[in-house]
Formats: sequence, C-alpha cells, structure tokens
Amino acid sequence: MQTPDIGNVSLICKDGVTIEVPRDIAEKSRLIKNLLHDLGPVATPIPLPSVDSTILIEVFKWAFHHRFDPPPMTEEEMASAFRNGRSLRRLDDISSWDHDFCQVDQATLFNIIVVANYLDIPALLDLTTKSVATMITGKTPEQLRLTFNIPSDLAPDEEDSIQRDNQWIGN
Amino acid sequence: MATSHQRPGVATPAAGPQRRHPAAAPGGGPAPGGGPSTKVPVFATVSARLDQLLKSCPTMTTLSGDPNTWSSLPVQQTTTNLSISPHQYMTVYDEIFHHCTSAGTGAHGQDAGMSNSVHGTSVAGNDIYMHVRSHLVDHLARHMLPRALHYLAMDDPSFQVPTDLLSLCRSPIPAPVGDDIPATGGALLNFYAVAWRHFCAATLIANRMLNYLNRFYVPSRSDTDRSICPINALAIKCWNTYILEPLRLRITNYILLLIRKRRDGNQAVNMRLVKDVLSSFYDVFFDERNDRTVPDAYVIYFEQFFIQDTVEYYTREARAFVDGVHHQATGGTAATSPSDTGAPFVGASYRQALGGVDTPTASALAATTGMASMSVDPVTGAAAAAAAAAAAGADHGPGSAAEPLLPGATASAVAAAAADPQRRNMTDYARHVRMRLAEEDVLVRDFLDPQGQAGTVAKMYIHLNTVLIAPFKELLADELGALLPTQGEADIKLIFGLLSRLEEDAGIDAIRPVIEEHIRVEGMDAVRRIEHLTLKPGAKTQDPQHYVNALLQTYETYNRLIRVCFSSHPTLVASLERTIRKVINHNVVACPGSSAPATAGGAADAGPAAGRARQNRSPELVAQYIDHLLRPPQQASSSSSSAMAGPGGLAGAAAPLLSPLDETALMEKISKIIAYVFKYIEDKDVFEQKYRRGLVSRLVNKLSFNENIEKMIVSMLKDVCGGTYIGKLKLLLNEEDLSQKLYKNFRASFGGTEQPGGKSEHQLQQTAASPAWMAIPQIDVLVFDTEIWPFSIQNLDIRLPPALASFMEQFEEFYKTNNSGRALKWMLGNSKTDLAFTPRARSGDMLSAPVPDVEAAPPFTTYSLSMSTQLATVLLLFNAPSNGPAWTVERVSAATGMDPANTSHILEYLVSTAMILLWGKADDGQVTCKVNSNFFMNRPRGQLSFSSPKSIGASAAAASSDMADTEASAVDASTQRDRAQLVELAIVRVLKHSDTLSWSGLKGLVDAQLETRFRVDPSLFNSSLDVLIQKEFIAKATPIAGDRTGDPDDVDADVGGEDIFSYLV
Repeated sequence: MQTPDIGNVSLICKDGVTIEVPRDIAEKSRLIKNLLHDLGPVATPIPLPSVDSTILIEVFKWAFHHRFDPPPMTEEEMASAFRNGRSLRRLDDISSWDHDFCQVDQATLFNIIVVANYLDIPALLDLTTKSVATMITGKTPEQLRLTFNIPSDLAPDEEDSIQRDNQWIGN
Repeated sequence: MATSHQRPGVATPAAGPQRRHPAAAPGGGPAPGGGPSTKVPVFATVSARLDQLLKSCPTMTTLSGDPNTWSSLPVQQTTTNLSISPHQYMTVYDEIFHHCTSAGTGAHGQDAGMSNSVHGTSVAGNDIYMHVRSHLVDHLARHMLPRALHYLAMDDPSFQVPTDLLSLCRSPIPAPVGDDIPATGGALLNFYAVAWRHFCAATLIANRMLNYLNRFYVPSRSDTDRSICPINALAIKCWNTYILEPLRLRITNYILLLIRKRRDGNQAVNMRLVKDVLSSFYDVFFDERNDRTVPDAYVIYFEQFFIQDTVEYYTREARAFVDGVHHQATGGTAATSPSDTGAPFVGASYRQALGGVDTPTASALAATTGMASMSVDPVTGAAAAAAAAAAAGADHGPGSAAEPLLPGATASAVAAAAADPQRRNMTDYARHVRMRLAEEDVLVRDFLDPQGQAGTVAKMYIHLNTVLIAPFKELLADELGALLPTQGEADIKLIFGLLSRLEEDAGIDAIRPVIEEHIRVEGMDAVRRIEHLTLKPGAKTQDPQHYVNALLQTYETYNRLIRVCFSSHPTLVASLERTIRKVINHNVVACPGSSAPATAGGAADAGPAAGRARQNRSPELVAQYIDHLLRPPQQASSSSSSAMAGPGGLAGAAAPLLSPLDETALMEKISKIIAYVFKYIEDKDVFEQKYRRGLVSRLVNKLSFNENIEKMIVSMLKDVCGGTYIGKLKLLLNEEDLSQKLYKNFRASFGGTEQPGGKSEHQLQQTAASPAWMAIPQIDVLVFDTEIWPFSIQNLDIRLPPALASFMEQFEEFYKTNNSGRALKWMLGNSKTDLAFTPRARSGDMLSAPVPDVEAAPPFTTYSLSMSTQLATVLLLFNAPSNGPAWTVERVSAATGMDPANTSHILEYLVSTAMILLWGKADDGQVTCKVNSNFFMNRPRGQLSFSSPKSIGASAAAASSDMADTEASAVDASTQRDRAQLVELAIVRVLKHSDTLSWSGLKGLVDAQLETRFRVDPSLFNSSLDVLIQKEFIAKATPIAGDRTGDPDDVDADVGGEDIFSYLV
C-alpha cells in the first residue's frame, strides 16, 4: 500500500480552525474532490463554513482508518440503488472499529451525519445512519421516545385505544 | 419546446414517498442560517457565479483574428476565464445546502413532522433549480443566440432572420462587423464550436458547484417530472432548445459543404472544426431516461443527411465514371460532363425531413430546395446548373452556397477518361473506387468521434457499397472474368475485394459463375491437351501420368488462385470444389464420347447399367498412377496381374516411366493426389477396387517402395473416406505383416541366419546358391489367408527341384505344428524364381551363382533372370551333366511331372528366347534341346526388356490383356453388385430410423450415407427400391389417389406427387 496522492489540503472550519490533511483523505469527501478537480490546485485554504472542527476531526479519524478501502459506489450505482429502492445495506456488517467509532454521544453522532452529508461522504453517511438505525430496532415506542427524546403527540386515551385495538401484536 | 418555462414559485408538490433527507431526519440537526428570507441571497450568489462562468465565453471582441481559425485555438485559451475561487465555490454550495436543509423547518414551524420537512426540501430545491434554469435560458437567449445569428449573417448576408427566431432572442442581434470576411459557413461554425466548448466547460463546473441539487432535489423529482434532470443535462437541453435546434439545419449544411469540399480534393478543409461542432450533437438527448430506442439527436441532426449526401455524391460520380467507361467501350464520343450536377444541400428529402419540425430556419432553406429540384431532371440538369451558377453570380444569393457544388471530382474523372481512352475499363473504375473508399476512411476518421463513428461509418460503408459497387457488380464480374486468364492477381484481388464488401454475398454470387466457368473451361482444356498422351489410339493401356498431373495442376493452380486472390472465401472454395469435381469426373478422358458434362448426367437416366456403357475412367487412372508411383521404376510398366513374368535384365531397366522420386517427395505427391484428385472422384469404390489390385500385386511381388508408405496412403484414404472404406486394404497390409513375422519365426526355428526378404520374388524365391544342385536356395515364403487375397488356387502339377521340394516340406511341417488345423496350400503358379544365367561354351554349369561382378567376368556374361517357377524348373534341368541323354519334350515332361503339351509350350517359349536351342533328333525321332552356350542379348543392356512383342510373351500379353478385359468387365459387374447391395442396405438403414420418407428425402439421405463411396445413380436407386419392395422389406404408398400402379419408373417421372416409402417390420 502506498499513499495514493501527494500534497496536503487545508480546510478552514466554521470556528476558524485550519486543518491540513493529505489530499486523498480530504478527497474522501466528494465535495472536496469535485472542487479540487474543477478549480485545479488551490493556493488558499478551502472554507467549510458549516463544519465544526471537532466534528471534522472525527470525520478524518474515520477517513484515516478507511484510507485504503476500495472506492465507494459511483454516483450512477448509488442513483440506481436509490431509484430501485433496492437496499443492499445491512445493519449487521459494521466492523468493530466502526462500531466503536459510533459510540459517541447522540449530538456528536448526529453532527457527524450532517457533516457526512454536507461533505458528501457516502460510506460515512451509511455507517452513521446505520448506527442510528440499530438504536431504533427492537425498541417499543415508549423506549424510542425515551431514546430520541421525542414527545408523544397522542392524547393518553388515544394511546390506550390503539393499545387495545392492536393487542394481537403482543407486547 | 420540450421544456416549458416554470416559474420558480409554482413547483408541483412531490407525489409519493420521498427520499428521506438525512440531514432533516432527526429533529435535532443543526440548522444555522435563516429561513425563507435567505432566498434572495441564495439566488444572487448563484446568479453571480453562473454569470461568472457563462459570460466568460470568448466573443468576436475577445478573440482576435480570423473567425475561421477560432476553433483551432487550444482549449485553454477559450476557457481561461473560468477561474473561480474556492471561497466562491464553497459559498454557493454552502448556501444551497442551508437553503435546502433549513427551508422546510423554517416554513413549517416548530412542530413540523418528518414528511413535511421532506416536502420542504423539495420545494426549496425547486426554487433554486428553476432559478438556475431561467438563468441558463436567459444567458443563451440574450447573449448566445443573437451572436450566433450575427455570425450567420456574416456567412450569408442575404439571410433574413425569421420572426420566430427573432422572438427567441432577448437582445438585439449585433450588426455585422464589416463584411470583408469571406467566411462561407466559417464564421458560424467557428463561433458555434468555440461557444459550445466553453459552454460545456462552464456548465460542468456549475453542475458540481450546484451538486447538492443533483444529489437531493433532482432524484426526488425526476421520477414524477421528466423535465427535471441534473444541472449539466439541463444546460445541454437549454443549449439544444435555444441554439442548436434553431440553427442545426444551417450548421449541418455548412458541415456537409465542408465535407464536399474535402471530397472534391480540397485538403485544406478544417475537419477539426467539423469534429468540434459535431461533438455538441452527441450530447443532445431527447429522452431523459436514456431510452436507447429513441434515436440520438446526432442521427437525426446529422447522420441521415450525411449519409444521404454521400450517397448522392457518389451515385453521381459512379454513374459518370461508368458511363464514361461505356462510351469508350462502344467507341462513342467522349463523355461529356454528367448532367445532374446537383445542389450541395441535401435537397428535396432534406426538405421533407424538415416537414415535421417547423423550425425558424425553414425559410433559410427555401433557396436550396429550389436548387435541389433541378437535379431531379437529368436532361435539363446541366443547363439548370449553369443557370443556377449564373444566378448565383448575378445576385449573390444562395448561390454562394452553391459554388462549391461544381462537380470537381466528377469533372476530373471524366477528364481522365477522355485523356486515356484505350485503358478506360472497369478495372480502372475498381481502382478508383478503392481509392475513394480509402479516402472516405481517412475523412471519417478526421471528423467523427469514436463513439459516433462506429455506427455512422458502418452505415456509410454500406451505402457506399450500395452506390459504388452493387449497381456495377455484373460489370465488375465480367471484368473479373476477363482478368482471370491474364493472371493479373492484383486486379483480381482488387475487384474481389470490392465485391466482397457487398452484403449477403451479393458480390460473391455475381462472380461465382464466372469463376466456376473459368475453372471448368481451363480444366477441361488441360485434360484435352493431354488426351492424346493418355489414350494412345489403338493402345490397350492408358498412360495415367499426364492425366493425373494435369488434374493435379488444375487443382493447384486454382486452389492457389482462390487462396491468394479470393482470400479462400468459403463460397468460392465450395465453387472450386464443385467445379474440380466436374472436371475430374466428366472430362474427355474420363468419359470419352461425352465431352459435355451435361450429357454424362443425362446418360444415367437412360436406364440401369445401360447408361453406363463405360465407367468413369478417372478412378482407374488415378489408382494406376499411384500404383506406378509406388513401384520401382523398372518394374513400373509391367502389368500388375500377369503371372508370366519374364526375365529382366541384369542391369537393364526399362526406360523409367517416371523419374525416381525420393520418399518424401513421393509421399508428398501421393498425398496431393489423394487430397486434390481422389477426394473429388465420384466412383470411389471403383478406385478402391483398382487400388486394391495394385496393392496386392505390389505386396505379393514385393514391389512396393516400402510398407510405411503403403500404410500412410491407406490412412490418408481413411481420412477422406472413413474407416469402412479402407477395411479391405487394411486387412491386406495386416496379412503382409503377419506373414513376415511367421517367416521370421520359421527362419529362427530352422536355424537360418539370413535375413528374410529378397529383392523380388513371389511365394518362393530361389537364388541358386551354388553350382551344386543340392545347395539350399534362398527362399522367401508368404503365407496369406485365402479369404482375403484375391487369388484363385491353381495347383501347379510339377515336380520341383529337390532343394525347393525339401524346403517346402520343412516349411509345411513348421507351419502345421504352429498352426494346427489350418490347411497350407502352395500356390506355385504365383511364384517367381530368380536365376543367374551364365552361358558358356562349355555346357554343364551354365546356370550358376553367385552372380559375378559384371566388370570382372568377361568373357562369360551372367544374366540375372526372373521367371516363373515352372520355367525355372525346366531350365534348371539343363544344368544336369551334359553327358546325360539329350532333353526331349518327353524327358522334360517326365522329369518335371508336367503334361507334355504344357512342357512343349514352355520349351517353345525358351527356344524363342534363344536360351535353348533345338539340337537335333533323338533316337525316337523327337527333337532334342540344349542350352545355347552362345546366348547373347544383342540389345544394349540398358534397354533389355523381356516384354518384347516378338517373344512368346506377346501371346501371353495378348492373353493377359484379354484376361484384363474380362476381368475389367467382371470388376464392373461386381462393382454394380456391390453398389446395389450398398444402396439397399442404406435404404433400409435410413427407413428404419425415420418412419416414412418421400422419394427425394430418401434419396438425399442415402446419398449422404454413400457419399464417400460413389454417386448413387437414380436408376440404380429405383431398382434397389424395387428389389426391396418385392422382398417386402419396405412398402410404397402413393399419396395422391392417382391411378398409378407400383411401376417404379414413374417415381422419377412424377416429381410433384412423390411416393412415400416406409419400413416394414
């Protein structure tokens, strides 16, 4: 394994912190990759006006760990997967490193999701949303409301009647 | 217009489940920035960046120099102004991101649910998307289209911008900047090429800068609204609507004009420009779903016109050229210029193509359609063209476009025709076409993109073939026929190369009869030339050498021709084989009397056996020739079946029929004969019989070159005809092997040391080992199975010399102990004996051995004689001491045990050879004989041959040739019998497999089965059917309720209602 690309890329975060990473790490983000491709070599740091440096550091942690992964699906493949509604994604294929990576507080996790979306890093977006999904599976509505801090939008009597009508589901 | 304008505000609500927006999914996502109030800043940012990208397009003012050369500028120079800073780039992205992710929550308030949020994203993206679209449209309509029209006006000052086109423009068309630039099409094409290139580069960046829309807004909407597509596709769509579609007919015309100029020989035409312009055609698409059934814009915008133009151009040229050829051929006046010098534009059909698409440029085309109509009338065409040219010169109207139309290439071709009237023929035309095709190849490479090339080039070549070659294929085939005898390989190849381009072998089919006829005529002639050498008038025997060699040469000549000039085209290879088959089986030598091949086939219908008065002689001649090749030269001329072999000279050899061939050469020759001549012989069974006889003779007489060769030949025959065909031949060879082993064993057990295998002998070989009578001669025995070998056992009633007799007893004993239960019969009649004959003045031991060296033994010359055992036995008697009683017929008869008549016959023969002299009279009045001690062969040694007609051999030869005749007829008869049997077998076999078959179906299958043996004669086939019906093996049913009885002769008389045959269990 050799480092695929030479040169570093500087990024300025919302909080003014400049982070410099190898170009191939930065290009895990398709946004940055496209930008570098379109604008050619840039002398000035690339501004990321919506990204917090702490979250970006988390993202790059992940990127370094996955530095030599095979390239992600192309846009066409993604698009066709989207369009066909066909999901090859599974919830149980998360590696232990990735699992540990996601063991952060909810706010951080959600911020990572937002940044992954912003920077267009499909693999990371996948991982993080998947880990949220695992939080959902197997929980009762009450537990979910508890977990995600969602207030109930039903009146208590409505809740009771639903409970009654659907008893066959089992508890 | 496919894309109707949507105001940003009126986005349709998304239907169905939307793709979840990840950022909006959890309620707690960060949503910095503002709500709806941020719309204006987003639009402003986007507009600013788009303008920055799009408006940097070079124009007349930013580009200097001749507009004709713009498009050849490097890409860098036309796209330098695209620089945009990372900050600007990221600002656009960031603002769109926030606009999209926050708009929903902003619009629907705090308690908006998830689905509402998704809705919000969709709407929010929609307004930006619509803004981008309107911006692109505005840019094109305000800046690009007027400029394009401006350059069009420079190309064609008479051009009036139609009103509908004007209404598309959102700004006035710039006035022409001086009319001193003579750019016929150049200004528009160059501008278009540069503008397109820039537009592509700009929108590519815009596409990615706005990628957030592509990622979330476009996929969510494109399912329900076809007009929503990714930004770059949107840009191309807008380009098509506002630039390409309004101008495409003009553009295509100018491109075709350039191509025509190039075809007319103007190499300076900038094909790069054409390529650049065409590249915009590839990217336009009509259907957003990538539906492959919708034809590409490229095909509709350009390809069809290009093909049509090509076809018209070359139709005209080809007709002019070939008409010129014909004028020359008929001695007519030199061809004048072809009448229909059509307009450059695609003409009437082009106009028709426009019909459905009512485009603003229709009026611009009106002038050219008028010109196209002129070309319809070929009679007035020339005048009309002249008039058009005059008109063009007068009013400077559309004629500026017509100018390059003047038929450059056509005119030059005709001029060339006039310059060299003698050599103007179809070969020249073929050369011209080849040159043109090569030119087109280069041309197409110059301006087509590889992705478009495959289809267009293929189509163009198909059309070129249809125009340039197909109409003249008969003429070309005739030309080819004329070229074949000249062996002008390059030209033959050329014409074949052209004709083979036609689809479905149309060209090949045209030349096939020509080639077949040529081969047939030449082959028949080759045979006719050597006919007198092969069938010497009056001679009983045939000389196969020239005949077979002529056939071989015919095959090789034309096989080479087909290979070298016709690339071994499968159809033509089949033609060659078919024709060679005809030549081999139906030539003057094979079927004397019926020289025409047609009658040979007709004769077969005359009736069974009667039609085959004389069999096809080819198999016999070929078998004979191979036999000759396999024999040592001096023996080659002796008849294979004659038992009465005469003595050959010591060193004397008959003039060799063939020059000796060494083994590999021999093998090569024979394998050629088998592969090229034997393979095509129809009566292969006859060949097998003849060849088998030759093989028997060679094996028995040990005349063969060597056994490996014999085995290889048999395996070669097997390759051609299969295992059953060579069954008998194989048996013979096996027997030969077995016999040799047996004899070796005998020698070993007998204690003999000499190696088996003499030089030439039959069943017994004897070389008198010493003057002594009792010496053990060298004897070679062959033991064969009577079932396999075609010998009739004749018991030779003779008392053999004691040495021989005792040997025979020993061998018999050996054989019986080793092979109990088998009868061993001696066939002395087929044996041969070698004697050394040394006539000396002193009688007594004139027959002695060993043969002294020729040089060392004067004055006694020793002759080595090979003769039948009978003769030898008699001759050996004279070796007895001279003081004994003189030999009379009676005494000889008594000594040998032969009957007196036979004895006197033999003695007569010996006397006639002068080896024995009539000496006097014995006491009882009988004639006595003694050895001629002054025996001398008075001929030069080299020519000493015993088959002289003067000898008694003559009568023997006559007898044997009589025998050969009867034998031949016997062979014929047995062939017929064998064939009938095989046909019957085949019929039964075929019918067993398939229940019922019509006559022709049955015949076809039977033919296929017997293909390697012989050609099934219809009469033979019918008679076989009859036999089988009579034997009630098969049944015949007549399908039509006619009154036809079972008369088999009706079968081939009535083809319409065929009889049906079936197998009876």
